[in-house]
Amino acid sequence: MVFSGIPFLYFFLPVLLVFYFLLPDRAKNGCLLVFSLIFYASGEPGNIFLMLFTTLLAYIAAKIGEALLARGGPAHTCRRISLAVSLILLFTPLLLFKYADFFLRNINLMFGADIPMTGASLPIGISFYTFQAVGYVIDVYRGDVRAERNYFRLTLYISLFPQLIAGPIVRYTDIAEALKSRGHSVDGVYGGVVRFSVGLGKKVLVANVLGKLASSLGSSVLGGWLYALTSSLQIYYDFSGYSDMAIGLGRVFGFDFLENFNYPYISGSVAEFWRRWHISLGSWFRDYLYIPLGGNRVSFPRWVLNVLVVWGATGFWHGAEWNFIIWGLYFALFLIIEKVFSKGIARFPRFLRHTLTLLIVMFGFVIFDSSSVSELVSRLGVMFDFGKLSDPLSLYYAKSYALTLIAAVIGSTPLFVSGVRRLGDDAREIASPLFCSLILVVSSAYIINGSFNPFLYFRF
Amino acid sequence: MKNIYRILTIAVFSAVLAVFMLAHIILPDKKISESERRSLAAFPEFSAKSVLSGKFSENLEKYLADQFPGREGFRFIASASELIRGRADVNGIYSSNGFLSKLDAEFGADSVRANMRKLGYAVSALSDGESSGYFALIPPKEYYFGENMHPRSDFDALGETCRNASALGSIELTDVLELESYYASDSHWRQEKIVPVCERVVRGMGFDYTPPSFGTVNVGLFRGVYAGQSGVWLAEEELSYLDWDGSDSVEVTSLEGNADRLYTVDKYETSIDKYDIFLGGAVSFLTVENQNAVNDAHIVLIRDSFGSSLTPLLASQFRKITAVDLRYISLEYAKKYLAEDEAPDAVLVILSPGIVKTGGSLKIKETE
Repeated sequence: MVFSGIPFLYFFLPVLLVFYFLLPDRAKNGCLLVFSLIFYASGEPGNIFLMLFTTLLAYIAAKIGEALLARGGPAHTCRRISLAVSLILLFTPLLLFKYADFFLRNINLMFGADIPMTGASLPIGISFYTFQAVGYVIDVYRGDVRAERNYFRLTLYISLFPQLIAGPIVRYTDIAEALKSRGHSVDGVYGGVVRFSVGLGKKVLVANVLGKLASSLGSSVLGGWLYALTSSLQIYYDFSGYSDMAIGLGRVFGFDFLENFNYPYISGSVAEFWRRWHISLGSWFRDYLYIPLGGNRVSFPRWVLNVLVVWGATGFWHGAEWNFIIWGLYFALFLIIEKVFSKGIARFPRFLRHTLTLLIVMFGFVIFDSSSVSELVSRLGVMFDFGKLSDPLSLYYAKSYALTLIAAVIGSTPLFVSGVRRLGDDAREIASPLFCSLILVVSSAYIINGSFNPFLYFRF
Repeated sequence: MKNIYRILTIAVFSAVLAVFMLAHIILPDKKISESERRSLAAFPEFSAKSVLSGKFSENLEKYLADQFPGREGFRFIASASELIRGRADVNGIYSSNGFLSKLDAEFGADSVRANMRKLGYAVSALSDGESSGYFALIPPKEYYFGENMHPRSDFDALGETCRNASALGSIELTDVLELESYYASDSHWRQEKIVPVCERVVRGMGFDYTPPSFGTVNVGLFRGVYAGQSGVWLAEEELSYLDWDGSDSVEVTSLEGNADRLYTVDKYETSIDKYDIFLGGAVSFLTVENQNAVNDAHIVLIRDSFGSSLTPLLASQFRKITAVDLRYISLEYAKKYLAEDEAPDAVLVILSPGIVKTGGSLKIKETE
C-alpha cells in the first residue's frame, strides 16, 4: 500500500481516522499499532514477522544494554561485546535479504565459482526499520535514552506506518515522549492535513508526471540532459513528497517528525547538499558511523578513509549494485575536493558554486538511476555525443512539458513558499480548505486515470 | 476566526474521503468502460494464497481504481489538468485541425523489412504461389495534418521501405484520401468517404470496377477511440454506412459465428466499439459472397480493422472475398480453412502502418 494510492487514501486512512479519534487516549497506541501492522501486511504479509523479529531483537538488546550500562565498571567490555553481537544480529536480515546475492554474484564473477543465488526478495522498508532499530539500540547503549519497557510501544515506534516503509528515519529519542503521552489538537491535525496534501501533490502531480517525461525522451544531447534534469527533479519531488506525507500523517496522530528535506537544490556545495537532502539518513550515518570512526578529528589520510567508508556505505544502503556504491564514492570524492580546496572554492561567486553543485548532483542522479555500469556509460555517452544534438521526440517533449519543468524548478526552491507566505496567514488559512481538497481531488484524478504511480525509494 | 478555517479544512478533506469511500462501497460495480474500450477490473479473488503472495493486494488496487465512483469525471479532470499545464498531448492523444490523433514513433527499417517479408510469405502461402499479390499501405490521418510539432513517423519513407522490401504489386492510396476521409475522434476512416479507395484497389489488382449506387445510412452518434483515450474530448460524430442495391443478398460467414451480414447494426447498442457495425468488428476469418458482383473472382484480403469497412464496398465488385486478420488467426490455420475452398484469383494485403511497423501481432511463422 502506498500513500498516493486509492486503497490508502479512501479506505485505510478514513477508517483509521474514525477509529483513532473515537477511541479513548489509552487505546490510541493500540489502534495505531494494529493499523500499522495491517498497512505493512497489505503488501508483504510474510515479511511482517521479519519486522516483528527485528523489533524483538532490538527490545532485548536494549534491555541488556541498559542493564550493563547501569553496572558500569568491568561491565564496560561486556557492554561493547553485547552491542557488537546485537548489531550483528540486527543487521543480519538486511545483509541476507538485500546484500547476499550481490556478494554471491561478485564472488562467482571474481573466482569463477557457481554458487547459487538465494533468490530472496527484498522486504519493503527493511533498510529503514533496520536503521531505526540499530539507532535505538546504540542510543540506549550510549546512555542517551532509556530502554523502552513496553514491547508494544517499541513495536509501534518501529512499525509506525507513516515512516515505516520509506522514512524519514525517525530517532526513538525524538518521539519517545510522544509514544507515551501526546496531545491532539485542531492545529496539529490541520497542520498535518495541509502537509499531507502538499506531499500528495508533489508526488502525484509533479513527480509522477516528471517520471513519465523521463521515460519518453529520445536519444540525443538534448534528450540526455533533459533526462538528467527530469530525473533529478523527479526523485526530489517523489522522495520529499513522500516525506511530507509521512510528516503530515505523523502530525495528525500527534507525532512531530523532523524534517527530511530542506530545499537541497539551492545548495552551493556538495556538503551543503547533503545537509539538505534525506537529512535523516545523512544524520544517521554521521552519528552512528562517521563520528564513531573519528569524524574529522583524525589525521587527513584517516579522515579521507572515513569519508570513503561512510559514503560508500551510504551508496550501498540505497541498493545492492555497483552503481550505488559508485554514486556514494562519487560524492565522497567531491566532499574531499571541497575540503582540500575550500579556501579557493569560497572565492568563486555563489551562482558559480551553485551551478557546479547542481551539475555534480545531476550527474550523480544519472549514476544513481543506471541499472548497470554499461547503462551508465551509455547514458553519459548520449549526453556528450555532440554529433546528435537533438531529436524530434525530445524536442517535442521539451516544449510539451516546459511549463511543468519550469514550475518544478521554481517549486524546488524557497521562492514559491515565500511567495505564498507573503499572502499572509489569514489569506492562507482561508484558502486552505479549497487548496487541500483541490489537491486531493486532482491527485485522485491522476491516480485513477493512470497506472503510472511508482515510488522510487520503495526499493530500499 | 482562524479556527473556523482550520476546522473547515479538516472537515472538507475528511468529507471528500468519506463520501467517495461510501459511494465506492454502495454503488454497484461496472463491467466495462466505454470510453477506454476495455473491461473494468472485478473484485479480486480472496484466498490465503492470493493474500500471502501479494496478488490480492495488487489486484485490489486495480479494482479500486477501476471502480472508483465518477471515474469518467475524474479522468476528465486529469486530462483537463494536463491541458491547463500546457501539455501538447493528453495520454498520447493530440488535436490538430479539429481532428484527434495519437503520437507516433519513428519506424525501424529492419523491422519493417522483416514484416514485409513475412507478409509476402503469407501471400504466397494463401495462394499456393499461383495468384498475384498486392500491397496497399493505409495512410494514417496525421499524414494529412500538414506541419505541426507532434512526432509522427515519415509515412512516405515507410511506404518506400515497404515497396522496396516486397515483390508484391504496390497500390498507392495517399491521393484518394484526405483529412475529412477520417473520423475526427477515431483512428478509422469513414466508409462513406472511401469509395475512391475501393475503386483504386479494384483497378490496381487489374479487375473491372463498376460502382453501384450507394446510399448513406446514419446509425447514430459515437465518440471514437481517441476521444475515449484522451478523456477530455466530448464531441460526438455521426456513424454511417453505405448501402447499395443487392447488399442484403450478400452472404457473410465468419469462423467465430459473430458476423452474418455486411453491417451488424445491432453492435451499435451492444458493442464497446461502435465501429463493430462493420462486419461484426474483430473477426479472424470470414467469407463474403455476392453472386451478382461485377467480377466473377475470388480475392483474399489480409487486413486489419480498416478492412472491416472496405470489405462491404469490395463485396459489390467480387463474387467472393475471404477476409483474413492474421492478428487473430495464424497463417497455418487460415491456409487450412482456405484450402478447403477455391484458390483465390488475387491476394491483397491492406494494412495500417502500426501493424507493418511492429508486426509483433501477426501470427505468421515462416516454415521455409
